[in-house]
Amino acid sequence: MSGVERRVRRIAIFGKSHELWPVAALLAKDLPADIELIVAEDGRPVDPAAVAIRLDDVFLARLGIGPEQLRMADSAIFSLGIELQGWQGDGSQYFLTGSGSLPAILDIPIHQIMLRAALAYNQPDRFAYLYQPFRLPARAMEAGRFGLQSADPRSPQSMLRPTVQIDRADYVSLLRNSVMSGRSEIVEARPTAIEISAADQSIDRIALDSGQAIEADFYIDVSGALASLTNAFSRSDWNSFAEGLPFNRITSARGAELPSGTERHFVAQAFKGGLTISTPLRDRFIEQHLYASSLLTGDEERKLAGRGANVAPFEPGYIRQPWIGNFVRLGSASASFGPFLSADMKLLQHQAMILVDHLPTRSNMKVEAREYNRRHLIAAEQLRDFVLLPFALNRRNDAPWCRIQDDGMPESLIRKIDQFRSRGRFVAYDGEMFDEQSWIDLMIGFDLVPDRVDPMALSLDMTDMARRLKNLSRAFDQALAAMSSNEDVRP
Amino acid sequence: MVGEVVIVGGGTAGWMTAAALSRKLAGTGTKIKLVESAEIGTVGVGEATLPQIRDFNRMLDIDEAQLMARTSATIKLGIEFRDWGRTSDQYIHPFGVHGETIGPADFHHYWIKENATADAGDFGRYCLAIAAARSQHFALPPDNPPSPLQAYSYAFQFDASLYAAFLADYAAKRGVERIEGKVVTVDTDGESGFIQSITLESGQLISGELFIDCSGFRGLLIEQEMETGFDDWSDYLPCNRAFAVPCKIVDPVGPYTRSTARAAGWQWRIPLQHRIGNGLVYCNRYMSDQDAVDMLMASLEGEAIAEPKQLFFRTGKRKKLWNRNCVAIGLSGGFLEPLESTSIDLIQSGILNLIALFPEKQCSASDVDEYNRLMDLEFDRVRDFLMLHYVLNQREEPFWRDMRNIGRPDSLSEKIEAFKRRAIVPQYDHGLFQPASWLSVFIGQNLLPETYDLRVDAMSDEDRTGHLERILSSVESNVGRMPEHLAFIRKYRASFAGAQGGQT
Repeated sequence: MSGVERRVRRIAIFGKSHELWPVAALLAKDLPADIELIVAEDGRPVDPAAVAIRLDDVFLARLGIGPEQLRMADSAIFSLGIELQGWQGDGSQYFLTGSGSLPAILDIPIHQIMLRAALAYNQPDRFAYLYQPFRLPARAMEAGRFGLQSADPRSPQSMLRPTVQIDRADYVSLLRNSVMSGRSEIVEARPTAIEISAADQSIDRIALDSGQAIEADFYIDVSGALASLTNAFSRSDWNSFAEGLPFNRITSARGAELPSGTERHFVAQAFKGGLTISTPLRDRFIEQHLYASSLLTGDEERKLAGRGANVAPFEPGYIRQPWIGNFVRLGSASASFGPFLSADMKLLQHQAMILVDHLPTRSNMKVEAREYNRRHLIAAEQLRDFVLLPFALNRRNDAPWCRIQDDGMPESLIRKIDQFRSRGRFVAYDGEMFDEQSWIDLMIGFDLVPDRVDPMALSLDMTDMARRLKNLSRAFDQALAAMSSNEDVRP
Repeated sequence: MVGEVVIVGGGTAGWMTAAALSRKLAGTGTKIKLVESAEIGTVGVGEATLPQIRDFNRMLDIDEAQLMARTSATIKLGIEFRDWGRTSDQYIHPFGVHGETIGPADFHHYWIKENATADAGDFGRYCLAIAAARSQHFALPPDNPPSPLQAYSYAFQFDASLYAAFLADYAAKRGVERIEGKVVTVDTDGESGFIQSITLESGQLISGELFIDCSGFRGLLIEQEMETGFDDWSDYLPCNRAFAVPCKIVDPVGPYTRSTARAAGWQWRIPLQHRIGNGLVYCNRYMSDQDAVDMLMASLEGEAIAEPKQLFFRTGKRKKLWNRNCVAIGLSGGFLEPLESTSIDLIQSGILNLIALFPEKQCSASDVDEYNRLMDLEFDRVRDFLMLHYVLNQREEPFWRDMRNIGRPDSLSEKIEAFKRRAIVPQYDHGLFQPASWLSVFIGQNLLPETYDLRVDAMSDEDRTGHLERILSSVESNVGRMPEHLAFIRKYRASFAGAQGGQT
C-alpha cells in the first residue's frame, strides 16, 4: 500500500454463510465488471436462528427483493411485530411494532393530548390505556390481524410496517442465490494465516485451509476469522453494554413442531435470569435463550438449553474502529447485539449498505475508512439504545432484571428517557434507525408517564379534541375490522 | 408552566419570538410582554432568508402573498457566489438538488466521471432551481414533484424591518403587550440567579418568569447581567465589520441573492421589490474602513438611497444560549456573518427549540441542557459551512491567502478531505445545510474529487452520457414552462411595488 497508490481491483470477503451473503449480495449487485469479488465462505454449519426484517427495509429494496419473493421463501411468514412477555412482571404483555407516525392534531402529538386528559383527571396510570386505541399496528397484532402497508398516506393502514420472519438459513439462501447468478468467485475455505505488510500494516495475503491463498486490495471480515489470526487488529476499542443487557450465554435450537394458526410473531419472554426468544415460522419454531449463567443452576441451564442446543458465550458490545488500513470488520467481527429485535442482522445489513456506499477506490483508503467508521458508530449506538430501552424500563423484580438501572445506560439513551419522562418529548439524533412512533409507543407501553404535559397541548380545546380523537379512533377501528386475519394470509 | 414571558428587544428576533409564542401559547394563559425602545436602533439583520422561513410562516398561518406585499419581498432560489474560487468564477448555491438518481451512486459521482472524460457542462446546469434563477424565472414548486429533479424550494428576500413590523402587528392581535422603554436595571434572585424583573428608565418594573434576550449584540440580559461568556470564533471567521447601504434598482431583479468576494471580504446584493440591499463585510486587519466604504459605494449598480451604515461584530456564540431563566435569541445569542443568510434562520431555530422545550417556572436542567445541545450543534454546523467558502478560495490577495491556511476545526478538515479524495459529501439530519449545499460550494469553488464511487463504472459511458443529456433537457424544458420572476410576483398578488427600470 505504500508508495504509488494502486487502484482497487480485487475485493475479498471472508465469513460464515449467515453473515457473508448479506454483504456479498449487495457487493455483487453493484460492483463494476472490472472489480473482482472473491467470496471465501466458511461452510461449517451455524447455529439456528430466525430473523425478522421489515418489508420496507432499504436493504431489501437495494437488492430488488420484494414482498412476493419473500413470501415464496421457505419458512417465511409475515408479521406486524414482536410480543414482549413478562417484561413488566410475570403475565405482562406488550406488542412492539414498527409504525408510521400518528397524525398530529393542530401540531400536537396525540400522546400529548392523551397525557393531558390523563393528568387532568389525576389518573396518570391510565395514560397508556387512553393511548392504546391509536396504536393500530399493535392492536392488529393483538387481534391476530394482518395487512400490508397502504401506499395511501390518508389510510390508517399506512401506519403498518410488516416484517418477514424467516429462518436465517433460508434468508441467506435467498441472498446467496442472487449472487450465484453473478460473476463472483466463490471459494469454500477458511483462512489459516494472514500476511501483513511491515511497511504500513496492511494485509498482503490470506492463506486458506484449502491450500489456496488470496491476494486482494481490500479485505472484508464478517465473522471474525481474519481478525483472530493476528494481534494487529485487537479489540481494544470494544465498547461493552453488558451493564444494560446483562446476559452472558446464548443457546439456539430449531424445533420441529408446527406453529399453531394463531402463533405468528416473535415472542421475547423475560424470565428470572434471562430471556427466551421464540419465533414461529411456516413449518417450524426457532427458539433462542439469552441468560446470565451465574443466576441459573446447572440443571436450570441444561433444561433451558435442551438436548442438542448449542451454548455459546454472549458479550454485547461493538468496536469503534472496524476499518483499519485495507481491512474492515462487519457483523460479529465488529459487534454483538444478539437476537433480540434481530439486532445482529439489522446492524450487519446497515453496515453492508454503508460499506457499499464507501468502497475504496485506491490503496490509500483512509478517508473511506474514517467515514465508514463514523457511520458504523452512529448505527451501532442507535441500535444499542433501542435494544436497551425495554431493558432500562423493565419492571421485573428478579435478577438480573431488577438490577438494570437507567443510570447504567448510555448517555444518549438517558437523555431520550429523561426528556420523555419530563415532558413527553422525543429526542431525535442523527441517523435514527427506528421509527419515532415505535420509541414513543414503547416508552408509553412500559409505563413511562411524563411528569407534565407539553405546554403547547394546554392550548387545545379539549371538547373539540374529544370529537377529533373519536373520529380518528373510529377510523382505526374500521381499518382494523377490514384487515385480514392471520389465518387468511398465511402463505 | 411559565405564566409570564418577557422579551427584551424588538427587531426581527424579538418580534419573530413574540409572534411565534403568541401563536403557540394561545389559550394557555401565558402573558407575553415585549420591551423595546424606539431610541435604540435595530441592526435589521438578514434581508435574505432560507426556505425554512416558509415553515415558520406556515406555523403562524401567514399568507405568503400578503407577507410579500407587506415586506416588499422578492423570491429567492439560491445565492450566487462570484469570484469566490478564482476571480471571475461564479456559481449558485441553490434551494434544490442537482440531477436525479441514475444508478446506485449519488448523481454527482456520475457527473464527476463525465466531467473527467468529456464536457459534462457546469454542475449547476443540472439543477432546476439554478437554471430558473439564472433565467430569472420562477413558479411555485409542485406539492408532489413527479421527479426529484423538479423538487426545489424557495425563500424570500425582504425588508427585515418590515417583516418585524408585520409580525409586531400579528403579535399585538394575539395579545402581546408592547412596552416602550429602555431597561436600566435587572433584578435577580440571590439564590437561584434567576431574573425576577427588569426596570425601565421610566421606573416601570416588569416582572416575569422567563426572559428572552433579543437585545442584540450587547446581550443585555444574557451577558451584561448573567455573564454567560462568549465563544469567540474570530480565529475561524475573522471578518469583523461591515458597511450596509441600499440603492435603487436598475435592471430587472432576479430570484437570488448575490455574494461577491472582494479584496478582504465580500459584498452582498439582495434585491427587494423597491430597492437593492448592499453591504460589504470585511476584516479590518486587511482593509481600512475608508477603503471598505469606497469599495462598496463604487460598486453599487444604482444610486444610493441612504448613507452607508457601519456595523461592528465579533463572530461566535454565547457559551450557553439558555442560562437559568434567560434565553438568548438572535444577535444576543451569537453572530455568524450573513454569507449564507443564516441570521434569521438561527433566530427561527432558537424559537422552535424554545417552543419544543418550553419550560416550567424552574426551568429544569434537562430542558436547558437539551436546548443548548441543539443550538450548539446548529451553530457549529453553520460555522463549518461558512468557513468552507473561505478556505476553498484560490485568490491571491493577502486576506484570501491567509484564509486558505487558517486553522480550522477537524470537523471541517475531514469534510473537505473526504470530498477531495472520494467525493463523499457531508450528510446529517440536524442542521441547515444538506448535501446539495455542500456540493454547490465544493464544486463551485473548484474542489474536484480525485476519485468517485466505483459503482459508477458499472454504467457504460454511453448510458451515463445519455442520462446526463436527458436531465439537462428536462431542466431546460421545465424552466421554459415557468413564468418570469417579476410576472410571478404580480400574478401572486404580492403587490410588486418596484419597477424594472429603477423606480422605487
